[in-house]
Amino acid sequence: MTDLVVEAHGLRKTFRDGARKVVAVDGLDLSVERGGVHGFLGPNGSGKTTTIRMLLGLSKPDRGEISVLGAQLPGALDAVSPRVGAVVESPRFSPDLTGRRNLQLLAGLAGLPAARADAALERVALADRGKDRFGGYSLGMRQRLGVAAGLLKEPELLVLDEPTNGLDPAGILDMRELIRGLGESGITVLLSSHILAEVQQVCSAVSIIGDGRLLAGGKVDDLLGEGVVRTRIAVADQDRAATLLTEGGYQVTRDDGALLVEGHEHPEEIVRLLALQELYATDVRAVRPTLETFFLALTGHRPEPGDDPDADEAAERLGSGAR
Amino acid sequence: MIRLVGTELTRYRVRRATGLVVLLAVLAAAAIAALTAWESRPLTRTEIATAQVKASQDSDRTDIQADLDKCLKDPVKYLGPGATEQQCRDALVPAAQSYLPREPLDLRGTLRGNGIGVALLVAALLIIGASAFAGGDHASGSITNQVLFAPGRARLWSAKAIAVGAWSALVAAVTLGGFWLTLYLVAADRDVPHGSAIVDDICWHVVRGVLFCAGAGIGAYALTMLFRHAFATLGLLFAYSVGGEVVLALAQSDKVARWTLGNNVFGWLETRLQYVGSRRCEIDECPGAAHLGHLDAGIYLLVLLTVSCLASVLVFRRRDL
Repeated sequence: MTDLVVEAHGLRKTFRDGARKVVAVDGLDLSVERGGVHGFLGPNGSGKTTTIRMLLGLSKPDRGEISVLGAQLPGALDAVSPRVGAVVESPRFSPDLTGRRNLQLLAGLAGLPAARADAALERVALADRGKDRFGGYSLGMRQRLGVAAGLLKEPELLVLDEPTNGLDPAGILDMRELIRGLGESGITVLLSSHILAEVQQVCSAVSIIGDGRLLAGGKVDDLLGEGVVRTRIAVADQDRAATLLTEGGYQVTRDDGALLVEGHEHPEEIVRLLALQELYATDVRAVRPTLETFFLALTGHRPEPGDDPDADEAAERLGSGAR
Repeated sequence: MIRLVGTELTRYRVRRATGLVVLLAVLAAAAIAALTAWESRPLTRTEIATAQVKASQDSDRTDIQADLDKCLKDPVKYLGPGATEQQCRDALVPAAQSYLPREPLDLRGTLRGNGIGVALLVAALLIIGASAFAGGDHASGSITNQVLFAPGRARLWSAKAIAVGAWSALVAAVTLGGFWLTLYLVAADRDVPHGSAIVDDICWHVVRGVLFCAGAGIGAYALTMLFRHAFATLGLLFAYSVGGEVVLALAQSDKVARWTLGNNVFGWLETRLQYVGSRRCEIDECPGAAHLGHLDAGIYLLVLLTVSCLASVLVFRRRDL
């Protein structure tokens, strides 16, 4: 029997937007197993943050059941809250206080000893900057302080909502390593992110939602294993090559100056077929399914530039086709 | 709970806006105390001599002499039933007293004047500070973070309210206490009346002022937690206080005057409020003036505070963050 730290069934949440009723989450089912990093993906407006807020007791579902760490919410929120850490959207701290003092005040709210602040700072590699004012922190340090706040309770479940927003490449790398390390230390991390490449690199399992519903969920390897490997061929005369391969029984699509042929069992045959017609491939490689292609196939939505400026910027910095 | 209140008190205390409010409150109280003391400073010999000369000169004016002659001829006809010749002289012969450039320090008069002004000013600043505190928590999203650490919302709301109330009371006690202590010492130094009766009135006024400021802070906090915007709170308070006066003016009824915010605030802060409409009267100054006691005014203000707090905490408990 699997040990689920988060289990939600039939979650529904609606909002009023003037006279209009907006369904943010519509019958969502979600399961997160204990341990590791679980990615929570979905296009902009798919209901990720609304779901996270309901899981944390910040908002109440109209319908459905939520169980976190084995306890039903919102009834058992007081009992569950000390075991759950979270960073929802951008971390908010007092700019006039030091990082350490900010954490100490948060610890005070939860009735935790102030010494926890130092341990949390240590864990996010901010121990030597704890005495500096939060207002003087870089964006990366602010995000790390947010994670430190989430760690104050020494939680079993840590919920991170877009923790790499606005970070530079070095910051993203640091954050990724931090999240990976947390996942390996036994904490279950629920990571909501737009940056699919990032999720693929740190998550062992994902849940993908769209229009407020669960579209797919499970181990990343299992999900991607369902995808098809394709052969990418760069050739000068793409039109002739495409016709030739289609006549030869291959399924061909075009992709950014190259051809994509379904399957990668015998690439040498494709190369030979083309070469016989004096079409010489300049590049041949296997294209394995990524979380992004899987995500796109499911949602039919590529996160468009402008959907989320922070995510756009981060994806651009990653430069790895995160979008 | 004590720890939670302590944390909220620290959060409130360390805000820049809170520091600014305290600074302004202290400066305002000190400035008004200094102004009150300065404007009632002892007269110099030159000023007294000048007043005597002016009085003497005016006594010789023909129009005044004519009036005096007229009065002395028939005091009853001039001043009314029972009037005497001496009363004619008292009323019409210019006295040096009338030409003095200022009055001596009058603690009882200050209780109705600048004393009320200081209490209102400090309360207004504390309203701004409390609104900025709660509004800032909502505007920055910090309230979400706080609820994640203290999920009991009614408890969190109460801890914040206690912190705001305690801080407001402390600031009010320091500023109002400092203001009156300064004036008391000045009065003692100048040997103007400062006996136990007036000291009792001042002490009770300070107690009521401190309670008023604490209530004002808590009320502003509660309204801002309800509306989530400091400006909404300040706008509502402005509209309510000005609206009350407008309704009073339109209704032209003294019954309405009993229920205006302004009269009830003065009813609470003043030693004994008599009013006609929105006009405050000296004792026995206005015929037919109504009296608004501390108990009645206090209940009125307490009901407003309680309604605000209940609405605020109930909405905060149920609201999606």
